[in-house]
Amino acid sequence: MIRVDTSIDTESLVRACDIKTYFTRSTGLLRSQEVVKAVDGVSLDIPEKRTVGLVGESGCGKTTLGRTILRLIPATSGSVVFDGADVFSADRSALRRMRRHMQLIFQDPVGSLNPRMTIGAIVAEPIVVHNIARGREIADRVAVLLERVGLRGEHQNRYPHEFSGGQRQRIGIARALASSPKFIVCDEPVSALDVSIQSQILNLLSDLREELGLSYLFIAHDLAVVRHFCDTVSVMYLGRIVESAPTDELFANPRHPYTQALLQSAPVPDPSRRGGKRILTGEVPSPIDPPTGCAFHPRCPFAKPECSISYPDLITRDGLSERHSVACHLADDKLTIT
Amino acid sequence: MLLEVQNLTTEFVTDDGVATAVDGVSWGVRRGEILAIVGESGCGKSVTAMSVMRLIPTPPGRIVGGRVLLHSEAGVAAGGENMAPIDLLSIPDREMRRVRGARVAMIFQEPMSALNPVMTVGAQIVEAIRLHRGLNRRDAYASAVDLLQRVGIPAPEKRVHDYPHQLSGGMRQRVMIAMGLSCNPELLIADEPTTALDVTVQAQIIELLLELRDQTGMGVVLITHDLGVVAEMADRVCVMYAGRIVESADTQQIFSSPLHPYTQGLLHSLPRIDRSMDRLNVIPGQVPDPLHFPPGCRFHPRCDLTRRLAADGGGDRSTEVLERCIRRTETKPGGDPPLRDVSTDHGVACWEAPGYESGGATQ
Repeated sequence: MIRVDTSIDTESLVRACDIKTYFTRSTGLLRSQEVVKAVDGVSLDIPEKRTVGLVGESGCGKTTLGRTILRLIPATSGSVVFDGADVFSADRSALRRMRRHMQLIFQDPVGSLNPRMTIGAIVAEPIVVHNIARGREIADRVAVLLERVGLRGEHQNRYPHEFSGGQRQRIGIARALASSPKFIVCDEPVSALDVSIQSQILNLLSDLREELGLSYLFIAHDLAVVRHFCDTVSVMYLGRIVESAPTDELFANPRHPYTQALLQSAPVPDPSRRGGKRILTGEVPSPIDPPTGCAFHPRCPFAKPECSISYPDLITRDGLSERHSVACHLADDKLTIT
Repeated sequence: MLLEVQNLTTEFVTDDGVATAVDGVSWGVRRGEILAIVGESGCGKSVTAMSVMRLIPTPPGRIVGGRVLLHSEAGVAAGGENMAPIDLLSIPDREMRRVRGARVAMIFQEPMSALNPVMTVGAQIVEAIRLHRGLNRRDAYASAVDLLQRVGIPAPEKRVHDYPHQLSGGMRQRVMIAMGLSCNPELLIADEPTTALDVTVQAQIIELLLELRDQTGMGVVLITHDLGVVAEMADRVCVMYAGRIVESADTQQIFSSPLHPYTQGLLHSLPRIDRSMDRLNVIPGQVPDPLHFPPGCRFHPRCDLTRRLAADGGGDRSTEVLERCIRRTETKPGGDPPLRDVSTDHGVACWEAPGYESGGATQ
């Protein structure tokens, strides 16, 4: 993969601003309301033809954020501008026109395909819904799409169960491409796949990006995959972004203690580099009752009294490039987990 | 040797025919050693583990051949003499129930479905302790609290009264490990013990398993698809593909000089966190379905070597190699290359691996 020079600014295609997505649920006999702050004030810029990675552990809100940006989950507040138009205030028909250009690829290649539809019908659906082609032309388009993702055009009449996991993920990709989108949210697209299949799908997504000029929001928990695939990376913890930087910079010089801990925890397929890790204690706290101040402070080896009082802003720091921002009170102290 | 698996073969009868999920697999694990069995979905790694525990649902499954020898520790056996090993596949069910949990324990990938949701975690651990160690209720409870403490659960005297749903994923996996350890097993079989966990918690569980191995000297069989976890934990590795072991060696060797094209392909197709790389290497095609394993070497349709030679088309050398990898029938009709030692403790099953022709059968 040729990595684009991220220092040159391109037009931003998607601009999410201070997104908050809260879920409420009633619990107990008195039906008292609990608020889960799944996404709590996230801003994200996705430039044209670039891939922004979103990493974090389960429950950090990365999937909710992806779906909120596509308006599949209503936001509590904030705004998203896609290609110059406001997504949250768009009416039904405007939203439908917009959705043609923003698509989603799911993690689970089994659950995301209707088992009663042929793959021809599955891939044709966006073409029909958005009125892109008619009659015989539809089948021709579907055949081209299937070939493009490495399947055979004559597979149109088969059903999803006749395909392996990797092939089903290819079908999901063909469906996402059917309406000629500009922007695709890839939600853990390779996590459910075998190692030998994972690399095939990553290469396919990377070819499509070059060829069609796509922008991706790439949601993943596997840091190695993110490092390989993304131009910039944002790390989420409990509903907020704690660090954001161009990929190479983030991996070379992580400044947030959580990012450092994540990088250290990831197993490396090289037995000569075994051991000597500083392992984080505890687990991600519940978003129903998040810790005060910086949500990471109960697990942070460097936590100071101020960390439990106020939430640190996500801002650039001295000595870091202007595209590298960190939300940590101690980011200027250059502390490193070793 | 603590446990020796010889020529294990397990089949499943399906509507479409008989699937040989594990086909003549042999390996051994020593006391204090972590053996990783690594492979992709459908390669037979979990079926191997379930066969050793005799937990294969029958029907549709059945173990059709092989032996699983559990050796007693020399000197510890009664009178200090070396007792003969027992074959777990041929002992009666009653005796197997005594072995399971007490001498050989197993932990699973999904702690939520492996734990009983309507029993407190304490009661579940106590059940195993009372059954195998014959302690009274009070002593068994004290022992359960001890175990929870050992696996790093905070406030164990409180947690012992919790139900599984009250615990986080990482805590549940710790409870599973505590249950597995409750009777001081000689061997622990861990089937994807960290797969369902987040990276920071995964690192904690890996650390815990390594510590417990050091403290107890138990042998561990680690079933996993994650080569990163293998590199972090294992002493030795068996790589499985399509029901067979295609390569076995110590961990260092597997990662630094893999000999089988499948192992090489897997290692090269991994994106790396410790370096940036251009395009990922790809193993083309898909993992074969156990009902339709290819003839000859089961990996040949995806193998770089055979694909390259077939594309070249012609030449005596390529015809000879192709003949061998695709059609050679030395061990049985349509048979694949057997696992042979090409150097000390490095076995490989590939006609074209250096030293394979002169190699001996693996021990």
